[in-house]
Amino acid sequence: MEFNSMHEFFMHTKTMTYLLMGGILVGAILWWQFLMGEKKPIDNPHRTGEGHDNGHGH
Amino acid sequence: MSTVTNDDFKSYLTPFNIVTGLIIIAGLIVTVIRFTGGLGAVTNLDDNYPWGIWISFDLLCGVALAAGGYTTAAACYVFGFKKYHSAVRPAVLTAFLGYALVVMALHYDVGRPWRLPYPIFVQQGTTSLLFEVGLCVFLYLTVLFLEFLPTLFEWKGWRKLRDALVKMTLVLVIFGVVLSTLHQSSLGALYTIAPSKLHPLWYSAYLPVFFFVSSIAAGLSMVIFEGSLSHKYLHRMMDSEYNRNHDDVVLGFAKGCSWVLFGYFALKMIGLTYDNNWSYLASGFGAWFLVEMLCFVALPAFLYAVGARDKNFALIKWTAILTVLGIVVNRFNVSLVAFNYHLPSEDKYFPAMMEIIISVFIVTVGVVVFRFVSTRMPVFFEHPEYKGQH
Amino acid sequence: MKRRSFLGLMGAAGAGLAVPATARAAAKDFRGYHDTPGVLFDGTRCIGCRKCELACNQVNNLPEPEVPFDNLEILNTRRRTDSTTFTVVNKFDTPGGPVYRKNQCNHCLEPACASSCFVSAFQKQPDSAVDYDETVCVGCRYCMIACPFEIPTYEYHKAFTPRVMKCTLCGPQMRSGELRLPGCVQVCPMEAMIYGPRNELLTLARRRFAAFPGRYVESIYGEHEMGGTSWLYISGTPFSQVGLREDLGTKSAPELTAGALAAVPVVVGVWPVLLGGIYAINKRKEKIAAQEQQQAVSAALAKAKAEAKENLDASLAKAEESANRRVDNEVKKAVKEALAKKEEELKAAEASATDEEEGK
Repeated sequence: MEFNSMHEFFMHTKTMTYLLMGGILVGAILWWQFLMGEKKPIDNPHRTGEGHDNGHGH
Repeated sequence: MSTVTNDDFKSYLTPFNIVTGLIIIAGLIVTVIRFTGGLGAVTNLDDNYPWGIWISFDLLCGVALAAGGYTTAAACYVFGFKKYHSAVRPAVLTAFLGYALVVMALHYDVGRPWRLPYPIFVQQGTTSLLFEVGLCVFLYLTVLFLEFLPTLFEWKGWRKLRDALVKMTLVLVIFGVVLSTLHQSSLGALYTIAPSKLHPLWYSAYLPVFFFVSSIAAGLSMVIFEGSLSHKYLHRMMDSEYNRNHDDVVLGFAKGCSWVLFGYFALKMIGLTYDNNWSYLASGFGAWFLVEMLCFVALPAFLYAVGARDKNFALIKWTAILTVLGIVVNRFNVSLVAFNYHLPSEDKYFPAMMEIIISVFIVTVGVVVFRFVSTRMPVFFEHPEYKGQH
Repeated sequence: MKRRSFLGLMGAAGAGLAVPATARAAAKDFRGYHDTPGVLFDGTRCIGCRKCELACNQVNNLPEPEVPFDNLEILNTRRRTDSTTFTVVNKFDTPGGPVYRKNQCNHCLEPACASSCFVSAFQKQPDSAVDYDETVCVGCRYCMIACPFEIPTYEYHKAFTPRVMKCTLCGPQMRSGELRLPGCVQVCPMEAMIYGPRNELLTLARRRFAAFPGRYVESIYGEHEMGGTSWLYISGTPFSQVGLREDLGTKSAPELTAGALAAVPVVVGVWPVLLGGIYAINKRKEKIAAQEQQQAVSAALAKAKAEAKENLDASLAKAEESANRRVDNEVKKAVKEALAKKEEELKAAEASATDEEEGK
């Protein structure tokens, strides 16, 4: 891709960056849910009374 | 239909209703003139001053003063100040109305308002900071609407919709903070493109940081200020939960605001030093800059601290008003007073009567809608069926 | 052939040839349109006849002004461009007598209006003209805030179709073949303006400096101002005395806003991570606090239970003890009583035995 001016260059990179930002925000939500959604309680006989609360939501 | 008796009619004739009624009638008349005669028919705008008080007051001040929404929500849900929970709903409602009114004001200000969606949906000028502002205001208005909806659903009794939305609270709050950071700062960054037009004391590459940090102070102060207003006029709508926490909110916000103002003052000094603008302080503009910095930033920072230490609620309330005024002064300085500082005084802009009428009209619409919503929906009180479920 | 039209043809050819093989995106050094046409305005030649204003008005079909173009009295008031005037000539009183300078859009190499427009309505064209597309313009007028030369104007009195108005460098007329040169350049009786490739104009200007020592302020306005402009000015008096600001700096509009724009994606990248982290930390603190509370409660409960059991055991033991003691006492008492009884019986037996012995 050829850019004749700084303006054209920025127009291209900013557009791409805005699209990426949208992706990042959506990705952040999905990653957070994946990260916080532990499936079963911690299987550790030395710990008691923990593991069911996955730490997010209300 | 029941017939309206004379008594019914008289009961509406309170001073509040008469004044708002008159303002709204005047506003509607000017609206007609604006949209049939063009901007020139109602404004003093010219080629040197393309932006007048509809931008200075309705956009710049409006957005800054609606910052209470994201600051309060972030304090409660992200930073874990659970005691501020009862302050979140009034703050979110104010912010939502504030932004809705900003968008309404923009319809008056731009030349072809029906094209306002163009930057987002037709052709994106991504190199423009105004594009960033427009996109964020559009998205944030949506976020605020979603944050406000549970109030409406509780009022209507739509439990399923309400529960689904409440589950999204954290995401909405973090989105709100991201979007607010972006557009609050970008409003300041709008002026970074015109170093030759803005007086050096106000121009800085740090303008976006100044606008963002001062918006936090503006938001916190508006929550305190509105809280005291609501206490006076809407006390009957408040539950014991709201009242019990109100003092905590005021003290906490006063402390927070004092601290933020300290930071803002420091940043402004860094800006002066970085551009070596100290010599300008010895001019007329310099004196005015010092008034802004000392009377509207340093003084409220100090008064807030005293008020919070002494638990002096009256002092805190007056300081909140002073801070809000200070933000208004700052936004006017950047966008009008220090803007085009090189032009002779006869070329300077002063708002026309009809511009002021529209600005007053828009604020009045906001107050009326706030009253309508907060006297019906669970804003200042928790809905009995949803107690403690947030 | 007149000198200026020769250069004009060269410029037109240049416009076609100067297509940007020179763009160097990798080095972030953009010089693509630099060799495209421009106009050199020589302030020492302008006589303030307003012929260029008239020509501009005619080729752009603008409404006739209140003050006719042959009235030179108006030169005594400072004027700027407005929505029906794309170019104005102003008179400046200097120590060396009156000096005239023409003002119009400078067609920046990196236009502030294009950088600031949120619908991208302004485009720098390969033929140097900064074009305006009224079909997308919202009318926010940010371009007017941004322009350092105070050029764009607005049709404030139109209710439904207000446009931003400014000089087009006669781009549309020249592309359609209607004009070979911009209207103002073509008409100038003094050849105060020359249209041609911008780099050649810069050379020409320097040649004039050399040819007429002392006649010019030896610098070219527009060479570097705000990143450079397609219109260039040379003058016999300092530029600031003929209404050209010398404090604009050389940074172009995209450079001025680059910092603020660069911060935008950083906020999107950093805030969710930071805020999510703070939220998780608070949530964890709350959880641990709740757990500790729970533990404290259950410990207290266990302790209370244990104590209760201890108490119970103790009292049970006590009860048993007392019961035992009571039994003991009873037994002792019974034994004692039994013993006493036995003794009495013995005593009685002894007594009766004695009685029997005495009776024999």
